[in-house]
Amino acid sequence: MEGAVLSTPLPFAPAPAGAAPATDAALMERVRAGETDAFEPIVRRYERRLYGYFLNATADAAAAADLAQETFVRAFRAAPRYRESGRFEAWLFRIAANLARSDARRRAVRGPTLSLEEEGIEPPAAPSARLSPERAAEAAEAREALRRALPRVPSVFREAVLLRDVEGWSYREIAEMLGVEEGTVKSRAHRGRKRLRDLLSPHFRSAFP
Amino acid sequence: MTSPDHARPTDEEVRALLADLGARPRPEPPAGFTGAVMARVRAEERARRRRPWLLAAAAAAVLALSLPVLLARIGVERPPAAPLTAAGPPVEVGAAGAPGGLPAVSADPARGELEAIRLEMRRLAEEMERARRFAGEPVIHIGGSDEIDLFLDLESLWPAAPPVSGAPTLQRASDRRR
Repeated sequence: MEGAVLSTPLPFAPAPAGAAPATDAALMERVRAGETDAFEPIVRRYERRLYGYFLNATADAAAAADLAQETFVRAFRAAPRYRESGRFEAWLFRIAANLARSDARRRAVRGPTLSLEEEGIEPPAAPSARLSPERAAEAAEAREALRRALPRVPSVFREAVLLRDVEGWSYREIAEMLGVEEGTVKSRAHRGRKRLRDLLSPHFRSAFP
Repeated sequence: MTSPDHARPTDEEVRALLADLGARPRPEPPAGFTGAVMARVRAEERARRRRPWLLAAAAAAVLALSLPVLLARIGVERPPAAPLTAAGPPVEVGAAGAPGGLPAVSADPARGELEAIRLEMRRLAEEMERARRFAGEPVIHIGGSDEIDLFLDLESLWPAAPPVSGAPTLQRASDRRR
């Protein structure tokens, strides 16, 4: 018999140097077993994605950081109930989507907040080596217009648009995340895009003449 | 002729813009983000480990303080002895001059109930008074941790002690607890 192979990693065994990083499910298993530090690789793995999602949803850097942090804390709290029945990321985004919705309700009462520009947040630059300076400037202007427009889209439509067109989830996955029918998600995404088209109209001519 | 929609981006163009937003490098969260999350997570874990102990301590404290009350109540609700079944006019059992020297309990059911309530109230008042003297003050610190302190406010359990002597006031059992 060749060397014995463990079908599942030992719960507290550290990953040997050069080994493949632990899967989300394996890390969550260790968290469930009481190894709190096993949650840190999960935070590092998803912090940018969640922060970016909330930043697109709120256009408020401080709120995005708070919401991303709250998502992780809730995920940790719910770890004993997590079962590896689907993608961990989808489970995490379900928590994030719920938080984004609650935040949108609070913001609707409180009123608008500062934009990214007003807060001095510079969105990261994309590689634009193949674009001419004029074209790159136009694209940047369109992106900025999009960032300003997104928080003005009603939250139920915005979450469908963000999850589908920005985060890349399938309609079925979004429907499971939000607990609604797939057709509802499609309808919401469509209406969200329609609203964006209206909001982008004044900027679009200059961005794409 | 130009339509009013002339400047509106198409659905595909909006989709392309959104996809571009998703494809771009994600912004970095603020410095120290991971550390802040893990600090909160560790605090959650500490609180989770302490929770059973705190609950047990609180339950034990409540039980210890309410046990005399429960015992007194059980004693009062025990069915009275034979004289209450006697027919005819009410007879004072255990009154002055009666054999046995027990506290007076009326043979009339209503009066008996009243006497029983008086006795119960007196006993409860004495229990609470003893608890107050023991604590030195009406709020007792019964334990806790670095983050949580557990207090028991005796005033809230028994807002006002009924008079031990003199004319007793009747109070419904359901009104006694807050």
